[in-house]
Amino acid sequence: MALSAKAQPRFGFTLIELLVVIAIIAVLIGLLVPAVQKVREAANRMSCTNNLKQLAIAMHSYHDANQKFPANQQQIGTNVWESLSATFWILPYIEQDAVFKSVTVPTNAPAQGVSTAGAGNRTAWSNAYNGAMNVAIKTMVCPSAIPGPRRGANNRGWDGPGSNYGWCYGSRVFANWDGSSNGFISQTKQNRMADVSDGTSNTIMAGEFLSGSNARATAGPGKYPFDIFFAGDALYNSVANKDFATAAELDAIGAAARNRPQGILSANGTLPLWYSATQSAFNTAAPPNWSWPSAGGNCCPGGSHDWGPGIIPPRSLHSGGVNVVLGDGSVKFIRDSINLVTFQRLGNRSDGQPPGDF
Amino acid sequence: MSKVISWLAMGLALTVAGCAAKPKSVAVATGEVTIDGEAVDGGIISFIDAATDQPAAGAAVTGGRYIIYPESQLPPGDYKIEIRWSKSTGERLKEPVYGHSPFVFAEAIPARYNSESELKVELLEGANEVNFRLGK
Repeated sequence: MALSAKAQPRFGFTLIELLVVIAIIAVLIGLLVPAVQKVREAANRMSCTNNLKQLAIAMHSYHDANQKFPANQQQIGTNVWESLSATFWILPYIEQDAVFKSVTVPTNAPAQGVSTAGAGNRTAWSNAYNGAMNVAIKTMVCPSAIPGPRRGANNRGWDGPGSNYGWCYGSRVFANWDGSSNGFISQTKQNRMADVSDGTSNTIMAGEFLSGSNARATAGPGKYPFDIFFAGDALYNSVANKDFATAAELDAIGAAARNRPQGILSANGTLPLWYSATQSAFNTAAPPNWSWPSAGGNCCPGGSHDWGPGIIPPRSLHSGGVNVVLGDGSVKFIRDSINLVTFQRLGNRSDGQPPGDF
Repeated sequence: MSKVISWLAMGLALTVAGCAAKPKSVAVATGEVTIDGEAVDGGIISFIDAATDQPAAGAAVTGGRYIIYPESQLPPGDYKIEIRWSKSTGERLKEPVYGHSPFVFAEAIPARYNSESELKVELLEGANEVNFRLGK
């Protein structure tokens, strides 16, 4: 053969060169993926911040129209737990007027914050439970959170479209049925702006929490940090100052809830329009993303709403803290490491003390 | 080939050893709590740092026993103890609140064991057995 490889100039590239290029591209993509995840989480967090802002503005609009904030209970059914949350009243201000109008509050229903067995109307409740309460409201869901059990997924029935935001009941170790609530919003009373004597810029109005894991109802095992663990009422009674539980007392209740739960709740964070804590309210008795599971009192006669005492701190999957909106409408990111008393004072609308740095 | 593997294994071992945090020294406490011979059931025992007067850890007292778990990260040292037990008097509330216990509760432990506590203990690293057999 006269033609030799040497004489011919080569075009193209070898297999090795191709592999090297592919390897370099792979490394570059590998560097990019975590950055994309970070940007996604940052966008989710911003969207969460915006949700809280909308809720605060809606609450102010309601106050402008009614000179009062709503209570976190409007009984419509004949049973006292057949009640709507404060979120129901602000639906028209978050562009959910159609959902708002689909619910009829019966004329014989008690006033906001009042519960009377036998008042209300059975049909009004079942229409709301199967209609408005089962409508997904985008403003009520944090995109970083994991969705809770959908309607029909949980055998106790208290499941729904998802709820990651609640109103602040204050710093007391009570979840529901607390007549002495010191929070911006109460279950049993319609507060006015003037009741927030610490100042709206020093008091938390609303914050975020996580949805339940849909673990087996009441028997568990529950999943931290998503589910609520019942510790019994007795320990809460033994807390010296119910408004400001100490770190040691919280530790005692948290450890009892985790290690000897009387039962668990895993259909929390599902129904934004249902009145109970863990669905539409929380408290600031313990720090955000508390290292022990969120705790209830006596377990389970009716699922998730019968208990009075409870420690239901705000929680999120954002790293290192939670978003809250203060009474003046400013959204703050509160770190998990916040001083306990500072956080309790932020939740308490009328403790009379400056909260300190946060 | 086996040489390469052994080098890799050694590298891995060094990395893991380098990253492992130095274990913090933690005290774990357990014991009995009785008042006049009666087991405290549904009370709270608080360990308060004797130097700073800050609550450091706590535990539920159930069936007369308490356990301070290692997760509480209680460092060894001197502590003041406060024990509270809100015990049902057996009387019923006149107007019970839905979702609450219908009974009246009263503090069953005298102030000298809680708000004006004279109880002091020293905890050592590791397991501690500390019993509180209190008298009224």
